[in-house]
Amino acid sequence: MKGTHLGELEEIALLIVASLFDNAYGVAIKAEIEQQANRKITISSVHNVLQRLQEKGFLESRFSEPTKERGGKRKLLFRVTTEGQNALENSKSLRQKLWDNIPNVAFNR
Amino acid sequence: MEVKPPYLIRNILKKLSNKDLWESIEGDLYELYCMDVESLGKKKARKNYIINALAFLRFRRLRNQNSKTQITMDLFINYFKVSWRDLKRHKLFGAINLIGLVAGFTSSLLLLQYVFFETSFDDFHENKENIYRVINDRYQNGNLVQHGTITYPTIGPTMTKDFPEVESYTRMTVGGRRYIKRDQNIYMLENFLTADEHFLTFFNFPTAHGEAETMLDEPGEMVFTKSYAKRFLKTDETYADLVGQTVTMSRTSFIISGIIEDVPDNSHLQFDVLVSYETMVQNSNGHASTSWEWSDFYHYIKVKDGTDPALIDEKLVAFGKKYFKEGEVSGGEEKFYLQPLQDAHLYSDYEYEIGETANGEIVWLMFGISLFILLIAWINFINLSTSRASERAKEISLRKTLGAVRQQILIQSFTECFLINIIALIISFGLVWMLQDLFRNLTSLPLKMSFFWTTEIWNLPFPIVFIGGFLLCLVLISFYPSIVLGRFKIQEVIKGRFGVGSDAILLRKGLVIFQFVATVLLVVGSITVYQQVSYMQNKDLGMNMENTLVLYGPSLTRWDSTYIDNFEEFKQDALRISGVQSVSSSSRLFSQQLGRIFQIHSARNPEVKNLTTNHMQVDHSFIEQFDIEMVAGRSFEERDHGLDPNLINTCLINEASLKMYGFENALDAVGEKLIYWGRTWEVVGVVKNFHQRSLHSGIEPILFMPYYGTDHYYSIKLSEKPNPNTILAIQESFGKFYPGNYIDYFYMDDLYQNQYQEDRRVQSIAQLFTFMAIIIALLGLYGLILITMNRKTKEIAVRKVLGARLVDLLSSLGKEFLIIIAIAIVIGLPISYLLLSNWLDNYAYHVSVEWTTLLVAAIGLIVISSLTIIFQTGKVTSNNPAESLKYE
Repeated sequence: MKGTHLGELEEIALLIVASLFDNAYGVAIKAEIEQQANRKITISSVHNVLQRLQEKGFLESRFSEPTKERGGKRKLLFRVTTEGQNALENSKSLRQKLWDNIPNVAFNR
Repeated sequence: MEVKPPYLIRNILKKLSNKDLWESIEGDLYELYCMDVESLGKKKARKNYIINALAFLRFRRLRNQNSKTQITMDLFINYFKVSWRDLKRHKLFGAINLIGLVAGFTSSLLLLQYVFFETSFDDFHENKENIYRVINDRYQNGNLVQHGTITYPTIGPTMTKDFPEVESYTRMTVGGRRYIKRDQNIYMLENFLTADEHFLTFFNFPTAHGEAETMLDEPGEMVFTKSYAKRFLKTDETYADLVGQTVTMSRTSFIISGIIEDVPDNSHLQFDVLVSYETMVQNSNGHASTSWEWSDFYHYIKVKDGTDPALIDEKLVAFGKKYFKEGEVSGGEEKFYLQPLQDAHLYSDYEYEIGETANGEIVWLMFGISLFILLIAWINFINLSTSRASERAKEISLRKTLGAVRQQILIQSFTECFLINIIALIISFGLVWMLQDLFRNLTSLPLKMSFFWTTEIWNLPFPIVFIGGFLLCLVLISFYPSIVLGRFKIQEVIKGRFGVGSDAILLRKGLVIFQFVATVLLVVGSITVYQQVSYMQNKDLGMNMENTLVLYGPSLTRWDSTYIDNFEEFKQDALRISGVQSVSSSSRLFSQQLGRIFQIHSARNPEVKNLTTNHMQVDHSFIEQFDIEMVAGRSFEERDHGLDPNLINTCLINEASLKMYGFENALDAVGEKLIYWGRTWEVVGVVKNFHQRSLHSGIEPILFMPYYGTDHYYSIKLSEKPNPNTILAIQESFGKFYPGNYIDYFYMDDLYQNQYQEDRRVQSIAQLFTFMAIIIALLGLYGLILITMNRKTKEIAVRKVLGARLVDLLSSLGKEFLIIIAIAIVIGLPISYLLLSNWLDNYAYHVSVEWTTLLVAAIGLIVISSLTIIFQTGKVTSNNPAESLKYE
């Protein structure tokens, strides 16, 4: 079984899948990443990261009904699994813990 | 609106991508594409689609991992990786392999350029297969007296009238140096043709301004090529403005009737200006159109599609008989033949050639050599690759154990071969590009890299033929190593027992012998060519043309009663300049083809009426100035000259003429009478034979007559190498006596040496190739030593352990290779002797293949081979025997 570590892009993708809920598929995720994180990403990289997350068991996918604007092709919709949710929460609490450990004097500002 | 993404790229991606994900990938790409079409336009969207689609191939998990393509791709990547690592690990070996290939490719490519240029002559004419030149052989008393390309002005028109197969003709004649005057400016003209009105439509010399059909149809018309016209352009004037302008040449006025594009380098007809043929017809009272005696004209005919030229050749036999009546008309029996247009440059050994010719046999020989060098380079490559088979054997065996099938081993071997060959090819193209200027100077030909993509072979562009041929050769040459590699028995190799069979060694020895035979041939060849060329350049010619400066005569000065006195005064004036030894004038110079008289005979033999001699018009200083020896009688004196050309009646002949006129010896000839031009002339002296032309040809009869002429050359002999002050003073003096003339000069030596240009070209190319061949042959030897040593590593180690000295080892190993070289030399020397003696027979005067040359070649090869042998065997024998034995 692959490790359950979350990379930076993986974490962003996972969060965005969760936020898009029922409409989380390639193009939409790409657009959301570009808008929210203000960075360029190719569609192939999006697919790659989604597949990786699915292999790790953090995402599950199903096909939608065929849609006209996609030339009659079905969308592959993603949804965060319980493992995914756990991983996100772990990551968040780890960060929170680390933030809490920073003494007030550490930052100059 | 229906939008369609790029179809091809979509299908490629479909094949290569993960089957389960394909639908979503395709859908996403489509959606993005639709968005791009709307915001960025179709063109940009297509580009983005392709980039996006290709980007999917980066990710392994998005590709179809079960497809054959994927596996093959992985394997290919692995092959490249392994080959690359292998090259990096064995740098010396890789370098040697590369050097061999690069040397082979580079020399072949350079030579191909030369071959392409020489064989491309007159390719640009449409209908070239149907165009022929009319060739004329002239016989007198059963002897061939002229084998020429010039003939009578009536030939073309009469053939077109008589033979239904002949569609059209064009006729022309060449003109020498002239001066064209526009307003007050004088421009020199080196090359022009007087050509008829068919010329521009018959050949493909594209017009720039004016109508091709009418440019040359009236007397007094002149056509310029663009680069010649450029000199005439005043500021703000265009080429089109020149059309219709008036210029004068030889005091006749001409109208520029058109401008044509420059004549391509690969045209055997070279000219800057065309003069309308009608001009000549008018000036000669129609003779230039109707004469059956005046033979200064070149004829080209175009036959109907599918006509067999042999048929016309046959008809020309009767044609010659009908119009020339066995010598009654022109003084000789005339035979005519057709020569294909495309033979005019490479396969012409005719006199009075209109353009520069090259020896087709040599061109094809060079082509053969270039292929041969390529072959040898590849043979070496095979040798070197297989010699390392044992090192690769373990890797191959491992691959086999893991289930690699034979086909895959083959493909791997091909990939390796491909990699190193492509690297070598790229380096070679780079080298060719770098050596381009050097090679252009060496060959003095306008060679261009672009020949590689503009040339067509079998109606296919060369790059296609080349890539196809190259790949085919790579398949063939990777075949052998792969068989050797594919044949291993896995268990044997893994156990550490592996060797190359003795049949393979024998084959390799054979190949190395073959290479050395070729090298012997090239070495002996290039030494002999060198000897021949320097012999030709240094032989005593029977005359002395050292330090002679030649001025073009004052052709713009009119001939009148003061001309002779004026010239003699100029002579005296020039002689006052320090360094000037003597001055003379002559109609022709050394190396130039002389004019001929076809109906001459001696009074002693009145029944033999038709004899042929070359003739030359000289002044009374000429013979002495050039140190031409008199064997009997006297040379010309001032009293032989005269203002009325019809009263001049003395002449000189050379020794080569004696027999022809029936004189027993030189003394016998003096005082005898010769009859030609309707008059009787007295032979006042006989000159010793000298080489008026190059040593390619023998010495022909020459007749000298004491004439002056405005277009004669003025030769000025200097006491030492010309210096600028002397030249300036000579020019000033000339300008004083001949005002209004264009002053220009050259050196007699240079003109004479020009005759050997092709010989020098062959010499430089032969040297280059010999150098390459030696390198390649040594690499071949090196490969052979390498493989033999591989087999003998253990033997050597055991011998060493048992106490053999280094010298013993060297001599016992080296003997084997020296025998190979010796065999090659024994085979090579007689072959080179025969071939080169045969080649030297092409020259009327030549060196012979010296035994010292053969000896030098043999010893040289033995020495450099021995060095290679000692170097390589020394390396192996100095190894620690424990190293080679520890694996047992």
